[in-house]
Amino acid sequence: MTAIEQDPVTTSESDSAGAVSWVTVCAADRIRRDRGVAALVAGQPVAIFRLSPVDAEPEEWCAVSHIDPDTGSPVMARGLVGSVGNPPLVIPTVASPIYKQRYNLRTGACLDRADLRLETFPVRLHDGQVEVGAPVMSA
Amino acid sequence: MSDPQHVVVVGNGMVGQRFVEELSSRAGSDVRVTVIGEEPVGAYDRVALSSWFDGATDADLSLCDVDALSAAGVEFRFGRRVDNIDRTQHSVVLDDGDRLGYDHLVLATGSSPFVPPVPGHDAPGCFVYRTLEDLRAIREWVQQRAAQCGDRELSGVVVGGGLLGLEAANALKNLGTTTHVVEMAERLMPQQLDVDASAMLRRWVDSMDITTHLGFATQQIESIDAAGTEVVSGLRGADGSFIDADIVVFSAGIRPRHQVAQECGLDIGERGGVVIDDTCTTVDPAISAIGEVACHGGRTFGLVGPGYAMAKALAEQLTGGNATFEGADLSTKLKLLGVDVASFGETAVIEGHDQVVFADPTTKVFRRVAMSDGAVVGGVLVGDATNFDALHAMSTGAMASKNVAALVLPDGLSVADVAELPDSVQLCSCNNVLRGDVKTAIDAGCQDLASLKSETTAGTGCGGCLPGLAALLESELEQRGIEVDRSLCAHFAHSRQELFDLVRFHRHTTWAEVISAHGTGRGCEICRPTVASILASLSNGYVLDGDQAGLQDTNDHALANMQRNGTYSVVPRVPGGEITPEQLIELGAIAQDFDLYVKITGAQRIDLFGAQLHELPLIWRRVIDAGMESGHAYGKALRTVKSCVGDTWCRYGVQDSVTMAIEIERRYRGLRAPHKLKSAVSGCTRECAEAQSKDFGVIATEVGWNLYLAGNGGRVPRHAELFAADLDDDTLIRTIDRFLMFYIRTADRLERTSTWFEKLDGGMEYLRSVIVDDALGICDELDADMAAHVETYECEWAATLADPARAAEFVEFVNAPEATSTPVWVTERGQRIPAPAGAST
Ligand SMILES: Cc1cc2nc3c(=O)[nH]c(=O)nc-3n(C[C@H](O)[C@H](O)[C@H](O)COP(=O)(O)OP(=O)(O)OC[C@H]3O[C@@H](n4cnc5c(N)ncnc54)[C@H](O)[C@@H]3O)c2cc1C
Ligand code: HEM
Ligand code: SF4
Repeated sequence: MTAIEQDPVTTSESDSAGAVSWVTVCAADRIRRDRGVAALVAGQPVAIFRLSPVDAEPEEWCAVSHIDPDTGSPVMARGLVGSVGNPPLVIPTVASPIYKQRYNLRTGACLDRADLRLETFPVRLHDGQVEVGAPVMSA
Repeated sequence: MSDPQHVVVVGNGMVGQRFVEELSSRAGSDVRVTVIGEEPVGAYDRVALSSWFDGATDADLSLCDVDALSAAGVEFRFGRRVDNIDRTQHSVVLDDGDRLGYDHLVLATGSSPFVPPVPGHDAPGCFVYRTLEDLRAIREWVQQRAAQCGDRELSGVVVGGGLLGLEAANALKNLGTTTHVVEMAERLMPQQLDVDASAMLRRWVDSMDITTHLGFATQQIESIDAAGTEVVSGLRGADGSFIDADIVVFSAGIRPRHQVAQECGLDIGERGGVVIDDTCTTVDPAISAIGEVACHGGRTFGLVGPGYAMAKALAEQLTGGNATFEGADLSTKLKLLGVDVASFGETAVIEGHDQVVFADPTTKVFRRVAMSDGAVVGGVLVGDATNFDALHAMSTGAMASKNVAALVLPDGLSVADVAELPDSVQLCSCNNVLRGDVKTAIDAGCQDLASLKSETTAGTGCGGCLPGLAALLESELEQRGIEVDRSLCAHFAHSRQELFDLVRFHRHTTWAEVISAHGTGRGCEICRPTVASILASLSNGYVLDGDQAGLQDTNDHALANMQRNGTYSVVPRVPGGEITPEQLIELGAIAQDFDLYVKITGAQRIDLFGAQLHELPLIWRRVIDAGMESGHAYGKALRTVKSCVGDTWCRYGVQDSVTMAIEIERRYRGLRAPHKLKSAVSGCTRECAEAQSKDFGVIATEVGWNLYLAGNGGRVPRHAELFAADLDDDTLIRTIDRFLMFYIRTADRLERTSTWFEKLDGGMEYLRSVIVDDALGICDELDADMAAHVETYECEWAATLADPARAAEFVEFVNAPEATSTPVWVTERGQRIPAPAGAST
């Protein structure tokens, strides 16, 4: 449903494993806790979440596709984060802002409908910058 | 009785239906059942008939699961009447000539309304009130006459001031007519209420704008010629007086439909009805009668409860059991036009009985209990039916008569203070469910109302016993040490109200404080917006600052309503619906410049659709520069205060409704609440602004304002109720202030004022005692909370634009501010709309 008009200029480098190329998105402190942002990673809209530490869990970063699997609209970064389960197994979640299905932020699995799934991306912090791993197309 | 092979049931009303269900669940495929029903559809809930006018559909009311019963071997013939019974041949003849043999015949033909044979009683515009078809015809007639009469208000007259007459009157009232009830007797509900109780009910009816004419003997129904067709015009009384009527509904009692039984020689009771014995059998052992058509012990029963008891007893008889029907007492507890009315045992005032009476005309409550030799023998309760269960149990001897005087006082003792009600006491009279039955079901594992209802059938009739059922469930669970779960979600063990009080008491201002002090985990899509709303109600700060930013659900998240393709709508506030030409032109220009779809809403404002996230600050800059502000269409907050033009322009207006609407809208704008809030102000009783469908509605009177509370439109519409009349401006505002703050404090999440109000124990009277008489001593706090809101309000979009850091949040991609996604659009009627779901891109 959605096309991207303009590709941003990104710096990237290759991961040692070679499976992904890391794209620098922005400074870590540009992203607020528990409120997602969207970014373009190799032309693909990605939703990035910075989860506040809670109970025994430390701060955690997650990245999933920004496209709502149910409607095809680019909105996942605007969903509410939350959690299900009790320690030791607390799963971070995001709910689609449109019809509110919840997804596991670590695996992309939908908790409310078996036929829906979000693509996930690796995230890391490097020199105070947030980096998202884009899959490298093998020739 | 031997096993019957073919059972034919005549009549598919409430009782006939119950019988078929009871029989088929007991007998399975051992019997073949044929049901013949005169009405075009299967059985429906006649007791709840009036709810059809409130929006209940035929399907909602239906009681007859044709598919399931057909699968169980029951054959239905709807729209067919039995005209003849041939007892020697064991067969019935239908109106289409078909003949049907039976082994056992069950008559469940109910009653028909009695229409007094006054001249003109069959004029076009005269109706009865018994079936869905009657109701449909009534509505069509009112609509048709309203169209013919233009601006003139229609007049509706109900003949008969009994229970059903009052229900019919209420329906006519809701259809928009000026409503009258004429009653031949000198009091309302002459069958059920004595003089004093009836006088108190009359006060209630008066307060609902229904005019009663007591002692009115209808001499003739007169008609006129309207554009070539005859229509009813009014009622002429024996004393020569005349009441205008565009519609007349007869509700002068019911008569058992025993013709077919009479014609084939069965015994008929003195006052009608097919005579049956304790096994529900007539003089012919192959024929039974149940429900309203049956006459047992010389009386007929015009209530569904005794009918259900007969249905059950007969089904057991026919399947080899020996249950009997030994009569029923006609105790009733009803909510009539929202007023509790109950009677039990001996209702008449009998010489030699001692009467314990409580009467309070100011609250319109009347309670009288008759005693003989120290034992309760009967009574009547109007306006407040507290302790009905206990008093009724005492009148039947199921419970010892103790502390009667204290139980008669409405605020006196409750049953729990006196004694535990015995298990043999009836809880649900429609389905004859005893308290003991409910306890057994709880023991068997039912732990919520829904499962308890389906397990015991209690509360599935008129619903009057539901509060009692809920209370019993709660106390039983408590006794068993099972906690009643009112927690908000998995992360908070508190109800919204408890959480509100905690946040208020501890003066929390952040999510982090709230979750670490009172919750667990990271929260979820239920508790996060709830806490967001509580924090916003209490502190009025910018909702996207600090960690509140992560709490805002879909719409609040971007201070705009998200549409299905991820774009947003922009809804500026147009207080009272008043807008200058310059503002209107600028909204048009904005829509042109950003290619936004424009729609005028039902709330008297203008919505602009299709804005993208990054366009929101640009659009709002221009809206604010044109002198408008955020309309909070995205928040659970005050929406619009709709108004009519009022006395400034209108020839009928008596007050300046526009100015009042604007004042109210400005006062409560931005007020966050458990759910959205709507309001309206009308300039006179014609009510063009539809204030009675709002959370709080104001209607001008000659001397001030009438305030209506707790209405809403939506899926289950509810009329707002008159809370106070002829208020001056200041009192009006103060009353609304307290109403809103009390609601915000105590409602559940996502609970509209109407649902909240219906759950308030004690209803309007209780609300009045809290926000007018200050019974809880919280009015000062409520006033202070509202004053704080009014003082600290700021437009959220002005606040966004004033701070570059806040405005910077409105970019689509954090690493590519210039990049945007482009939704797929199509054009319809000259405007841009989202491509239909599933359309190829
Ligand atoms: C508006 C209203 C409100 C009410 N409120 C309450 C209340 O709050 N509490 C309460 O206890 N009771 C109430 N009642 C009364 C209750 O509805 C009746 O007691 C109950 O419906 C009786 O059931 P029944 O099956 O005996 O008769 P009905 O429900 O009248 O069913 C009889 C059926 O038989 C059909 N029939 C008749 N003759 C023939 C024939 N020859 N061949 C084929 N079919 C035939 C009729 O068309 C009808 O469908 C109310 C009634 C009305 C109208
Ligand atoms: C006897 C009954 C009524 C009379 C005499 C009456 C009269 C009027 C008049 C004079 C106006 C126009 C005000 C103007 O000049 O713009 C008006 C507007 C309106 N009336 Fe009524 N009215 C009646 C009943 C109702 C009822 C029952 C409703 C709705 C339930 C209603 C809804 C409205 C609405 C919504 C408007 C505004 C129309 C608009 O937006 O243009 N009216 N009415
Ligand atoms: S409600 Fe308002 S518009 Fe309607 S008639 Fe009265 S004053 Fe006029």
